[in-house]
Amino acid sequence: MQNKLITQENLKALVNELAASNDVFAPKRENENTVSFGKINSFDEYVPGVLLTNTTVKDKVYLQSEQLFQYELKKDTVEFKEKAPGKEAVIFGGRPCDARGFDVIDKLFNWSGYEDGPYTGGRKNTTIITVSCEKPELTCFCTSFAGGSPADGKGSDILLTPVSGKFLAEVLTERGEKLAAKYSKYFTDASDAETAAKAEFAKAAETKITKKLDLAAVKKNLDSSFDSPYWDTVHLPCVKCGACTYVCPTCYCFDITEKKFGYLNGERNRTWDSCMSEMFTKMAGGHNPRTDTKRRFRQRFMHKFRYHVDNFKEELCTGCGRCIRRCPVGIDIRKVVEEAK
Amino acid sequence: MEKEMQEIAKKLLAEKKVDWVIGYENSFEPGASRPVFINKPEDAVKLVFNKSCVNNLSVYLPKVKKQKAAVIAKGCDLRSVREIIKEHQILRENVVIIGVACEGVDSSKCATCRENKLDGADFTVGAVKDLGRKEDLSDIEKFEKLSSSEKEAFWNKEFERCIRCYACRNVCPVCYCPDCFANRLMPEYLNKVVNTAENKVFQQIRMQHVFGRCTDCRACEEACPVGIKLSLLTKKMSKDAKKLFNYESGKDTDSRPPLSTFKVDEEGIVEIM
Amino acid sequence: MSNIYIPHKARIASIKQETADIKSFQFELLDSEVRKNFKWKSGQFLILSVFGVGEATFTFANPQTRAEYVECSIKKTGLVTEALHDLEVGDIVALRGPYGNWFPFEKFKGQNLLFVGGGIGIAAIRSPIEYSLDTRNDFKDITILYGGRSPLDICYFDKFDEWQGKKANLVLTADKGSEGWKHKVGFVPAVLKEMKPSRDNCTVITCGPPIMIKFVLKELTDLGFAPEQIVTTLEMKMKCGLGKCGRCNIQQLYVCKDGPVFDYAEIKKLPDEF
Repeated sequence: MQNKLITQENLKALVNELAASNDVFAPKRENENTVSFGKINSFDEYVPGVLLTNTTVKDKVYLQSEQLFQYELKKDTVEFKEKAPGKEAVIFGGRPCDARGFDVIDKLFNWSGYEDGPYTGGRKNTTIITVSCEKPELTCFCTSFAGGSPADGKGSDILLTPVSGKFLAEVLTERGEKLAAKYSKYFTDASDAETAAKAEFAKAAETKITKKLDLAAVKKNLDSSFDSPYWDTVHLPCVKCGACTYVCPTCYCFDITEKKFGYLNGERNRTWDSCMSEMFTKMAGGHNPRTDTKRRFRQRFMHKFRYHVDNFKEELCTGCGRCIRRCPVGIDIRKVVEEAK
Repeated sequence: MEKEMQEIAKKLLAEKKVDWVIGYENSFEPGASRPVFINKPEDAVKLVFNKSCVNNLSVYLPKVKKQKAAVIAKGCDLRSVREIIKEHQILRENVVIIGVACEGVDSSKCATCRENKLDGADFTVGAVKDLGRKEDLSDIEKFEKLSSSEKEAFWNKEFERCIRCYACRNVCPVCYCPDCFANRLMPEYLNKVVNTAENKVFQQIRMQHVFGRCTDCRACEEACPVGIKLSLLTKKMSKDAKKLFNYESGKDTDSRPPLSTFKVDEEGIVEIM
Repeated sequence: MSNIYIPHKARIASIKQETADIKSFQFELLDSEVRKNFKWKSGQFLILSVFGVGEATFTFANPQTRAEYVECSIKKTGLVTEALHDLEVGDIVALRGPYGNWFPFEKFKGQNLLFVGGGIGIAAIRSPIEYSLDTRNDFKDITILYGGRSPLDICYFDKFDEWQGKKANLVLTADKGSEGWKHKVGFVPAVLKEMKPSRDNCTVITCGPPIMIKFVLKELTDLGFAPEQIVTTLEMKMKCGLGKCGRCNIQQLYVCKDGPVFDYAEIKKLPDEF
């Protein structure tokens, strides 16, 4: 689809109109120092300047706790009830690294011959309108990844980039086209000059990113460093909480548990889980293949930059830097994988 | 001051008095720091101390208990060190305390700093000044005056955000249980489902467990990735421990935490039955 | 969109107490369509639901050649297995699967087969044992070495006559014997050493506690077996069984998807993280 243009006022009107009939999630202030993706009822609740919300946007599609089904035991049988599909949702104001996270985990949830309905159902219901970043933070490293950029549209349905006081709207998917067509009154066609201005914007933003990982070298080092003494000490400052995994746009590991309502009924739930937790791999009977904190710490980095690459040909990371920012002890994923040998 | 600290660390490591020096190093952005474990004398130059050195490093001490460690401690961190010595999580002789004279770091606790003195430290870096700051309990007193439903509404809003990453627990110097109730499956105290009710249960039980042991160091609040106002709870607990049991956590290394002792008549508690 | 986590409903058709802490269950799938289409191969696993408690992973104890019921032999070790042991015939459970890979029997044709099982590991090799007995002409000698901690820990006494009747050479051992125990006494690896099986044209299928596996592998290596001749099934904590939940990996491999059946040559390449 041809690139569109939308003015600040029209964007506001669009978001307000969307919020009237859909769940619109956007960066929203929770308290004086917390901004997370929350449901907004009007554009005014949206906090535009924030790059790194406290938590990840993935939880709007891949819920931290999600009911898989309810059961009720009957005489000689059991009945299952699936929850009704959610409302159409729009994620507005996320960043390219947030949207790219969906692209990464989409593949996982469609992998191994099984489509994960509880995930893909919500995913198909969600339109993602992303805003390019003008001033990346020191923790940002999205340009390390193939095609990664502060103005990259991978995973987004529509990408908005500030251009001469307005936004250039790149409509990237069928879902995006549907939305742009439905609300066409707010958009005008963009000129070539405006499209070119976006390229300039992207270039300027990319040069502001100070850290770029050599991922081929990282992979090579991780391939050979599993038994390295490096891991004996590098994990020591880590307190083994799950903050990094829970704020990550690509960490997807989960647990399946049950919650009883009464003797005969209850629900089966899927909840995010963290490889940093001792319980993650501890088996009934007590055997634990990843017994110590060193093994659990190593698993996280190996999974992201080695194992996932072996299986999916891309890293399980989008370079958002949230884990660096939210880590209570400032562990820098870039440093950990770069120095591994 | 940093130079002095580095020299002490270097000497301790070179003379093999300790296996580790736990301190702060520069982090990813100017002025930011993070905890670091140093085991080579030549790495002691990495040590820094500035306003960003918020972390309470005493949390690491029980984890290196089979080895000897030196730890950089601010006055407030020293309270935690004393508390875990008291609770037999570390042996005093296995720990070298390098106290730093602190005039405040970037933390909410510093405005009402009660203790920057370095009593009991093996080394003192810098000169301790009287900062003339006073305890201020007005926020707690204000909160206490709210009605139950107002309090509940407040905490519901806070714990709605909780993602149960357990950062609060894992950075807490007195949350050292190897088998936390939150991980137990048999019986299951806490369902894995993350919602406001379960999140509150987790924090309520955790707070009960650390009552009279928590030094109000704010490590939990600093660590919380979603900014839950945990200091309201920790501050209230230290206020209550003082009022009910005339007890201050981390003040010394030999008194007994109030909930691990029993007296038929507690002077601070009025029975209404 | 399909909810791959909804299990098939099943009814407990029979329960047999094998030992003090092991019971064998037969499950009957409730839906006749599902029952008709539910097909598995020796080595694969399933995930059982006990309502009110949760899910756990088990291997099929019976082979595809005896597929009237889904059978599992289950040792009481955790939350779900304890709840299973409390259930009665007629109770409703559910299961999903089959998942994972299977024993590559087409590769074993014309060979001697040696099964080495210890403890509850016997549940995982009963299925390939019975499969090979049901396709007996495809194989030469079939030998089964099975050991338990004590005579009281040995399962499947009722099956041994049939196995031997189909010309399987059965060797039983107990770590500690007791009065009236007419079989061998000693650890499985020690008995294996004594048996001196020939490596020629032979495949070994083994399953048991990690410590037994470790020494069985050592004995077999000493006897000149090549790693490719030894096949085992690995056990890891699993939640989804579908290669998604991210916990049963050994490096880039997922035991639920790339396993659970591996030969020793593959395992040797993996780090000690299982």
